[in-house]
Amino acid sequence: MSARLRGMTILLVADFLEDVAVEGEEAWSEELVRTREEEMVRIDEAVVSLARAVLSEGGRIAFADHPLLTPLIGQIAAEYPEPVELERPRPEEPSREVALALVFPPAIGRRGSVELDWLSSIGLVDSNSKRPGTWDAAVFIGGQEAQLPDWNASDWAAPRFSISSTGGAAGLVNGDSIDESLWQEVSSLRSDIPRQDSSEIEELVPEFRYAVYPLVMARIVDKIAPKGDLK
Amino acid sequence: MRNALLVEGVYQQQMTVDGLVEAYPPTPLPGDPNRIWLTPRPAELADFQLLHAKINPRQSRRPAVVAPGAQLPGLRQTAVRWLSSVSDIHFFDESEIPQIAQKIAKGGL
Repeated sequence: MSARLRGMTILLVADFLEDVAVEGEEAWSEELVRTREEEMVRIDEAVVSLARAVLSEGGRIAFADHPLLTPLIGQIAAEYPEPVELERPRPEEPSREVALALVFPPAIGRRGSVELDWLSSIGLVDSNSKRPGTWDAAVFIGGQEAQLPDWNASDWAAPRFSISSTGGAAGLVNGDSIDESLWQEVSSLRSDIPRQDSSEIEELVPEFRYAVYPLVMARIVDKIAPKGDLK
Repeated sequence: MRNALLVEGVYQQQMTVDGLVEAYPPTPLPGDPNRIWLTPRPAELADFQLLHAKINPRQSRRPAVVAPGAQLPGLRQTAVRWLSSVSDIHFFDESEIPQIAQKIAKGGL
């Protein structure tokens, strides 16, 4: 493991998509249910991939308290402990000088999950902070169009990356949308995989759209990490 | 993993019937392919057991287990890391997938 993002803070701006009302049971077609599930999986996978990419490189994630994000990122933060010389007698309570995640109160809307106090008490997240005044990059995932004016606020000078395939405000916000270009690149490369004879079962790479998110987040880390400090 | 391999130019790749990802580096090397076992949950004994039977002692490339939580503290993960060392099977965190693909593309692992 390297620590290219040591001392850097990545602002995660994410939310569920718009909760569009659907009238009547028959309106909930199989396709609509599948679409909704896929939207949620995309947001979930994008958040998980970003958290792993940032925390494994020694960076910190800052985000507004949220019922989806707080427990998810808190759990992932537990996987990337500060190095200790000896095995801790109570590994479920890691001691940290600096929490890996900063959780600040949301500007509007609901407060996050009941896990926040517990995650804070064991040092996994710092829940006593305000939204940081500066950060090294912002990543936008999902969200609702009503949030777009805030997401596009002009005082956000740090690099901005939108994961537009997660839909919602992330598909509209100003920012470097590198996931679409990477998806196109991967899709075109798939045709170069040698195929077996047609008499045998044709073997394909799964088409899950979110399968590319670990690569997307790794590229974001490459872009924001200080140059000349590669492992 | 397979997308990461594609981006690094590793086109000779497949998923075997037992769920392993097999990949050959772009520059052909003698010996077996790189074999990778990916699991969506923290690694355990059975993950290494499957791969151990695939080890070819005559080649330097070793199979790899990729799992979340590889850096977790605690006795359980310490035991898994010990298992990785004695079984001669790499043990990587899920966040290292792009780096693993880079190593395979260069003929490593």
